[in-house]
Order: sequence, then C-alpha cells, then structure tokens
Amino acid sequence: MPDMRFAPPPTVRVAEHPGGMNQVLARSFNERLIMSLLLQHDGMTRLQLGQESGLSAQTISVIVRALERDNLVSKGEAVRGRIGPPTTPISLNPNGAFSIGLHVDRHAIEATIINFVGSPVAQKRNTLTTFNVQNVRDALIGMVDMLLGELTATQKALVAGIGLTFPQRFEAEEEQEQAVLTFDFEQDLRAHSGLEVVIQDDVTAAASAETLYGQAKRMDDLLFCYASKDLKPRLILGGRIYTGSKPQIPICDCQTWALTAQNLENVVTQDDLGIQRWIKQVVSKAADLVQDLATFASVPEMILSAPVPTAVMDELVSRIRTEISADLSVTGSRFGPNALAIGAAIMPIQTRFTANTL
Amino acid sequence: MRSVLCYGDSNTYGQTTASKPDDRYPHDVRWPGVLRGLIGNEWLVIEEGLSGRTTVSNDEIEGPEKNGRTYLRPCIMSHKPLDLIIIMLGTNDLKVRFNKTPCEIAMGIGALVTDIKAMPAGVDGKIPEILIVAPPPTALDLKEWSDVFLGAQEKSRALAREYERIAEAHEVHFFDAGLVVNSSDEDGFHLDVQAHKDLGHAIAEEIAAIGWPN
Repeated sequence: MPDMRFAPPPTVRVAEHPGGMNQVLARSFNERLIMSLLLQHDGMTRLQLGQESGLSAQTISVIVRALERDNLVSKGEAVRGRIGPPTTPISLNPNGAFSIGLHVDRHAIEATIINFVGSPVAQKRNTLTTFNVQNVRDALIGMVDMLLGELTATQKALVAGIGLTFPQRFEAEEEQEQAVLTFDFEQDLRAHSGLEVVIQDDVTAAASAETLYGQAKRMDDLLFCYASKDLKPRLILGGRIYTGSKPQIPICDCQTWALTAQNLENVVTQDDLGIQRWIKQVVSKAADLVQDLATFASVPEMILSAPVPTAVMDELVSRIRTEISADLSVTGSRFGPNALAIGAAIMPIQTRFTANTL
Repeated sequence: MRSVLCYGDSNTYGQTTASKPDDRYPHDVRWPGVLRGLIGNEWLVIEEGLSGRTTVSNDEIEGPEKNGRTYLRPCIMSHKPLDLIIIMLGTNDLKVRFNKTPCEIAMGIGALVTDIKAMPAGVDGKIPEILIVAPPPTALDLKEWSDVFLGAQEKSRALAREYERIAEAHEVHFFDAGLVVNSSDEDGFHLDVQAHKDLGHAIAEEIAAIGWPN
C-alpha cells in the first residue's frame, strides 16, 4: 500500500462539454457563497470577494478558476483563458446558465426563460380556457418545449432547471383546485424534460427574485407585497423570507379583479374608474399592513410588485409613499407584469448556485 | 513594503537562448527584473533562479545543488518574512534521466508547496501566499538538447494541466506561463528577451489580481 499522503491529486473538475451542466455538478458551499456575492454586486475583485466572504486569497483563486472553467464567470479580456487584469472586476457570465420559470394561474400560464443574471430571454403566455389537471399539464409541457425551442443547443445544455409556481388558491372549483395542487408536476415535468424541477408558491418565489436579482439585492430587512386580487405580503428579515405565514388580504372579488386585470392589460387609461378603485384599495390595505407590522417589527424598505404597467406602478408607489410614514421607503419592482414567471425561473438558479436556501 | 520570492530555474535566472554557459540577461531584462520595474516601489522582488534546478530530484550529472527541495528551506529562511512565493520549476524535471511523467513532476511541485506550508515564513508567522507557475512547453525542436530532453516536447505540453490539479488540491494560486510566452526556437527551452518582458508583465498582473489588503 503506497503512502496515501503522496497519492496523485484528484482530477480537476471541468465541464469539458457544454452538457456538463446536466450532470449532477454539485457546487461547493464556498463556490455558492462566491456566486451569491457576484449576484449581489455587479463586479468584484478577488480582494473584495475575499473580504466579503472571509475566504483566503488562495481559496478565492481556486474557486474563481473553477467558475471560469465552467463559464459561470466572465473571463478577462486582456489575456485569453485567464482571470482578467486586476482592475477588471469579476462578474457572472450572463450566458453561463439559463432557467425556465412557469407560473400557473387560474386563467393562464406565464412562462419565461431567464439567463444567469436574471434577464428574460424568452417569454410566453398560454390562456387556460378550462381549468383542470389535464389542461394544465398539457399546457406546461407545451410551454417547456416551446421555450426550449427558443434556445440554441449550447444554451439548452446550460438550463439549470424548471421552476414551477402556484398561488395559494386558484379560486377555481374545489375539486379541480385540489386535483391540480396535489398532482405530481415535479415528477411529470422532470420525466418529460430531463430537467430538475423546483416547486414554490408564487409570491415567495417573486420575493426571492427581488432578493436575488431585483430591488432587494442588497437589502436585509424588507416587506415584499404582491398586489392583484389580494395583497400578498412576505416579510424578509436578515435576507431570509419568512414563509411560516402566507397572508392574503382581499382587495376585491374575483369578478372585479378579472375586469380590472383586463383593463390593465389593454392599458385603457389609468383614469379608468375600476383601476382607480383598485389602486385606492391597494394603497389603503398596504398602509394598514405597514401600520400593523410596525407594532412588532420595523423594516426600512417595502417593495411592491403587481401585474400592472409602469405608469400604474409609479402611481401606486407614490400614493403609498404619501400614505405611510417617511421611515419606510417604497420601491416598485422592475420585473413588471411578468414578476411571477421570473420568480418561478429564479428557483433553480437559487437552489443550484447560491448559498441562500429558503 | 511586501516581498516576493521568485524561485525558479534557468528561466528565472535569466539564462539566454544562446547556448553559452552562464550567459545571463542583465538584471532589468530577466522577468524578475521586469517585475521589479513594474511593482518595485511596493515590493521587494527577490530573485532565486538557478540553471538546472529541479523540483525535488538530485541530479547525478549536474550535482546535488540542483535539487530544488533541499535548497528551498534555507532559501526561504534567508529571505523571510515573505508575502508571496512564486515557484516556476519543472522544465529540468523533463530530462530523460529523471524518467518522470507530467503528473509526477507536478507532484514534485506539490512537495515544495507542502514544505512551504510547514514553515511559518510569512508575515506574523503566517504562511506566505504561493503562486505556482507552469513553465511554457518546450519547442518541438530541442536541437543539441534533444537527447537530454527525450520525450520532453509531449510531456511539457501536459504540465500546465497537471500543475493546475496540484494547485487546486493544495489551494494555491496558479498561472500558466504558456498562455503568454513560448520557449524560444533558438535553443528550444529558454525564454528570449521579449518572453521575459511578457512574463514579467503577466506575473505583475497575477500578483495584483490576488488582492492585497492595505
């Protein structure tokens, strides 16, 4: 038996071919830590990475090389094949990974593919005329195939997985609702696509998207609210989303929302009475919520997301600002009407590449 | 002022590509000198290059002083405290007399890293940062050295990969000199003036990229 202290070192882990991503390529915790930092900051030097992570310079060096080999960080331009000059900060390669997001609603399925820095590269929407398991299943599979069809072979091999989100309630017939909520879509989609499938509730996923790619990138404590038929808040403390309670504060009834949503989509005009009534309700419920929350937790930030055009979002934000105390700063999500699909799409990236787990 | 030790062979010593013994480039032409010119106001650049130096082997022909392992400890102790140690060795290990595979040459580098980590030669008793530099592959025509370096052409092309494995296993910095310089066609394995200049610049960037807190 040779002295194992002098055994040859293990082979360097390299994704030699683009399909490397599909192997179970578990990233070490330290690598995830570094990628989380790079997700939060647009570019960091190795020194900054070391200072933020507490890892040694040599460990950073090894990790950055590994990420570089797998094309997850952008290579420097100065010299081929090596880390760029010290003045060039290291940043994530937008084309290093892709992810599919599917959001199922009572009336439609919203789908998107995002790249490694969270930008949508394709978006689809499929209306569900009849809500039942078979229709949802067919539509989901059709969407996945359609979205994958938008990618090149190289990009396809870099798809990290599928994120699938559902609302807490579909507001559909009890029987259909239960059937959809209990059906094993995870197994079904995985078998069809060969991709990992991550399931989450829609608002929690949208809140995660804000912390990973959105307005909450560098915030630790905040209140995230998604407004549609209901106001659905999530409290994020210390960068973690509290999922113990998922309240729904009613804004209007289903019928009113359906009509409002239609008007919002067709951008009738902001002065539309229905839209104004909805805005008023959202503002008042949000203000109440902030007041209630203040009795046991103080958060400096609030991020609002809603399936509305930018102009409506701006009005919502400015009206909430005037309604509540100045201690809380209010920001509108930049993900726009597709926030829930983008939220779904970040789930595989979060589970595979970051150090934060829900 | 920080200090960096450049521990290497004839390509650190600055042996010219002319096949004359002890024909050495001037101090500001060889790569440690180029490095000194670039970062010398913040760094003490210490040159420790010896022609014929191996990683860990006694050379029966050239003499025991060529063994890079036995000299490493006294060398480091003479220069400590050090912030960074750069090791660029392995070309001489390609000589057929040592009968080593690329993997074994890299393991020799690993042995040097282990030795460095066993001595508190850094500032405040810490371990210095270590940068392994894979030497560039030899030229395909090794001229009168063809017999001495029998098979070195192919083996030298596998060194960078093996060195990176070792660097990863030991968690140290790594740079492939073959990305920026070639061995001179003049003699087949030494660096010419331009190569020393390019290597000095590349190493300066690598040092800066490591990141040094104030």
